[in-house]
Amino acid sequence: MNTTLPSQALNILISLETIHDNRTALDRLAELAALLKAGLHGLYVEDEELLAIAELPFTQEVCLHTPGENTLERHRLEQQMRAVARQAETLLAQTAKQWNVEWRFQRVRGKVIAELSKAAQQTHIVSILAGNRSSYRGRVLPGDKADFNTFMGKSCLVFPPQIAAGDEIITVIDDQQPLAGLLEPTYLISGQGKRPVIILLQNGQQDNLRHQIMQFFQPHHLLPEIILLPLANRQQLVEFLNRRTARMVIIHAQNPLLESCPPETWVRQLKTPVMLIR
Amino acid sequence: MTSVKPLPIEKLYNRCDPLQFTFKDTGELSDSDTLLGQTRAVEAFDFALNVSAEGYNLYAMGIPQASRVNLVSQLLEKHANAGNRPPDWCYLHNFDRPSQPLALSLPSGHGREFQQDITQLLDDLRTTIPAAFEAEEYKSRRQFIEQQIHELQNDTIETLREKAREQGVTLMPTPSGFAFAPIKDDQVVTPDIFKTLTDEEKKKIEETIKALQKELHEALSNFPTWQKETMDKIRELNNEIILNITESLVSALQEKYQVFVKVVDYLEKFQQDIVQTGAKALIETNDDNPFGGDHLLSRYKVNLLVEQTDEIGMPIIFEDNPVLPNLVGLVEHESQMGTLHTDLTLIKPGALHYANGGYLILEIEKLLTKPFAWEGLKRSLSAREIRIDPLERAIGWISTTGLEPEPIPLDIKVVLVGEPRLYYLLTQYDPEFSVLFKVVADFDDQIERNSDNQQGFAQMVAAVAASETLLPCDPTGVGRLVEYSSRMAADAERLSVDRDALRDLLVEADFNARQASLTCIDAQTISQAWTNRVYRNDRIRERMQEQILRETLLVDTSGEQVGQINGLAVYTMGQFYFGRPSRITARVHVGRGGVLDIERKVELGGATHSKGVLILSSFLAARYSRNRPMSLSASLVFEQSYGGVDGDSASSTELYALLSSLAQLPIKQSFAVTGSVNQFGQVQAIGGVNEKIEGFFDICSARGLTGSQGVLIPAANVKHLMLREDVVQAAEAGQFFIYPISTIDEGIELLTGVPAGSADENGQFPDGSVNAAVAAQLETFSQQQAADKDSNSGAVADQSEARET
Repeated sequence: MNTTLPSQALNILISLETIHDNRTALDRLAELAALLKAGLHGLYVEDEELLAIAELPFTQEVCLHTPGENTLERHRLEQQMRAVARQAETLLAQTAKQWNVEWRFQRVRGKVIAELSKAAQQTHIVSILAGNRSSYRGRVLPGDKADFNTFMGKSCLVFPPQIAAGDEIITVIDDQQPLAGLLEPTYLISGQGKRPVIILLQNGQQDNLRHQIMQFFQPHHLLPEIILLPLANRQQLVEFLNRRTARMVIIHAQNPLLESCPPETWVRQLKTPVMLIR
Repeated sequence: MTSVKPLPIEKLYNRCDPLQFTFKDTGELSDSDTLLGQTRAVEAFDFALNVSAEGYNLYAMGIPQASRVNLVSQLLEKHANAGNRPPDWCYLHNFDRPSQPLALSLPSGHGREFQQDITQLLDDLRTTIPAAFEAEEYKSRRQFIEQQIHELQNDTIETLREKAREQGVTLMPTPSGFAFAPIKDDQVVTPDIFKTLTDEEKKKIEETIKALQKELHEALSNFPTWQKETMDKIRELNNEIILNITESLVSALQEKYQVFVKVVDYLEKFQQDIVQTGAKALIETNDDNPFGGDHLLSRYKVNLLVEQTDEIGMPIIFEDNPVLPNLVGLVEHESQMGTLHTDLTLIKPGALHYANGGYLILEIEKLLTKPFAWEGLKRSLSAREIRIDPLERAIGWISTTGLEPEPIPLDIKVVLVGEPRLYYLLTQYDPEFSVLFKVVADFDDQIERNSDNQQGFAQMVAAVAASETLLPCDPTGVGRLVEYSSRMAADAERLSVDRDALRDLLVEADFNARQASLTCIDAQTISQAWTNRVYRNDRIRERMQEQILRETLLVDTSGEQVGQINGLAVYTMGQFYFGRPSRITARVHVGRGGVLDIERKVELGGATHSKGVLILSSFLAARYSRNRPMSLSASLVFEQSYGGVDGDSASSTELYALLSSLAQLPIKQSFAVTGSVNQFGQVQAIGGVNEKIEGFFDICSARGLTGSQGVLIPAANVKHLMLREDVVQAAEAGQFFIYPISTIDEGIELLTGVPAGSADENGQFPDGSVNAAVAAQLETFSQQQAADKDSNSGAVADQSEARET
């Protein structure tokens, strides 16, 4: 398992099906790509299951903004998917250009989870958009943690539906995970110290950890703010994060606080993107 | 014999003694212009400027063209300096009627301050409002509102999804909405599997989905309402944020300008407008869209139309090009993406705006020749307000809607500068003119030449030299200028105060002086300038003189001839005048045709000339044929004259030629004559006497002065003599003479060398006199006429001749 972000030739995968619902997420992702000198890999999956139900004789589509019901026709659905894919590609291109990062776009047909997992094999970071609509709950992300871990073999950036403005990079550290695997991405994502760095030690006072952290940042002439906050459960973490104005939260994917809960479920309670490091 | 003597030298030229000037040069004198001899005009100015009633505007006439503005400005200055500075004027957006910008007056100097305050306010709003919308407080409050609807929507969908799941159906998103699909073992039932189901299972699924779709449809129908409620809440939040920011900034300004009710009212509406619509513009100011943020914000800008920058006094404005827009202002347009656009910042002031509260100087000739300008000025003065009424719209050239700025109250004195002729024409033909311009300032072009005025003239020379940065004049130069000024006035006892002419002469003299490396202008450089100017204009005169000397044009300057005399005419070539002799002849014979004016007959003579001929006819009849009809047919002609002849200055000359012809007494050709005559035989003054004398002198001089040559002028013209130096020198040397003549008898005696003769108590003239010879000849004609009457043929001939007359 790769626990550090390679410094060069990074790829960030982004699933674009609901990108129109969360453009801020795309912007943040492009910013991250610029900081990490990474490329963006946009993936649009034409949902095979959706196309399949269009062939059922009675399936109707209830539209959000137009009255009445339409018969769901496979041909029309394919056209709509292509149109959405084109728009997503355009948006990806514009955003990438704005941040001066490389990008590529891929449109595939299949099961969303399977295609995303396949694409994730070729990439370093996977980003997940938790759309505004509840449409993807239980579909893009598996419904339980075990599935999620199987699906996600990579570091993963999860965006909540609402993203607040913020400046701090908050890294949550548990003494069970390798420290360097969290500090190095923290340093890079903070723009090499341009943004304030907050280190949250969730196990409370641990001098050796403090010492290691200071040692890591000293050569970079950085002095992060270290907060000692013993956290008993995940909800306390959520409350803490919602009181801050964080730009991004960095946490190890195997942090005990995240056990028995799919990341999307608790990230939705935040207003800050969360980077799950593996 | 006649007792008429040639004029003494001192009568030919009125010299100015430089010793009367005590200064070394005019540089020692003050350079302020004393408006020499213009008391009447100055008092007219004082009167008009001090009367505040409507219509007491001024028409200043008689001022030389080039000096008009300076002179009038000078007269206005003392009043302007004593007056109060008028207010600044601004145009503001009218929030109630956007197409009619509001006019705002503020004490002078406050206009700029107010403009800067509003600009600063906009800048502050431009910074603070977007910042407030970027702030966490706003975002979190907005997110909270949005989250509420999202949660509501999500809960609605989730509830339905769970309900569907319980019934073996899943809710799937589509690009446009949602669709239900049957599931089995957590997998969507594909069409192939669906086919394997029993009809009952199929029917059950279909009914379940249909019911769920109905529920979903009902649930989604609430979404727009929730969305609207959310938007309303966001709008309220936005307004609250904007109002909070705007209120604090605007109230500070309202307090600062609390004494200006209009400003306070404007700021109140400004605030409301910013909250309602302006904030969007403030947030979008970086938008490239030409109709976007900055464009929308332009209406909040203050157009500082007129700013009184002078520290004291009222403005004095001269508008050199008084076209209508330059007078009353205009609303300009800009082309944006192929369409014409305007806003209140494009309202441009006119001269009336700048001069409002002060004085405006306009040249009437220019004003009258600019379309609609005169009408526009009159309308503004009558209404006492400046209304910007675009010309293009008034005459239908453009039909697009534009701005109609609120008229600005007008408090102004307008000074029109122009020729007297236009003043009288306007008075006669434009009824409004007399109502609006009640005061005339009539500037005199001449003043009496006395010691005081000569000193004043020196002051005027100093002022002109200073204003033109010319070398100063020494006393000899000033003296020579005084003499030339008299010559320009054509009067030895008066001075011309034509500043333009004086300035032109000084500029030329200055050039000469500098060429000669002099430090001041003296008499010689003035004379040189005068001579050079004459030379530059003298080509036509030289050609005419050449024709006389080569005897192409016949003019005798010696010998004697019956019925032939040298008359004198003045020719005008632009600003240059010169005289030349012209032969006049008279022939007489028996008949009843009277005196035939050949010039008139061929329509080369003007009305005044014909009047002179009729007067001399009357003189002849009254003096020589009082008791019997005059039986005379005579003809008079200007020989070799092919242009028009007008004026009566040759009527005495023509009478001399007639008398010579009647008396058969020759006239000395060494004389030339000028002067008009009345019915009593008195010789009257004429114009251009100097030029006429010099014209004959030049011919005589070119042929060689004989010592017997001279010119007979009316005695009344002696005071006008300011003759050229060479003429005076010839007279001093006894080679050329000027005779002042009062009566025809004096003149004819001098011209013929024969006594004129006075009638005795019986009306008889002494034998051997000119008059006796004339009377005898007319008696002879009368007798012949009587004899001819006996024959019938004579009557027919006479009738024919009479018709021609």
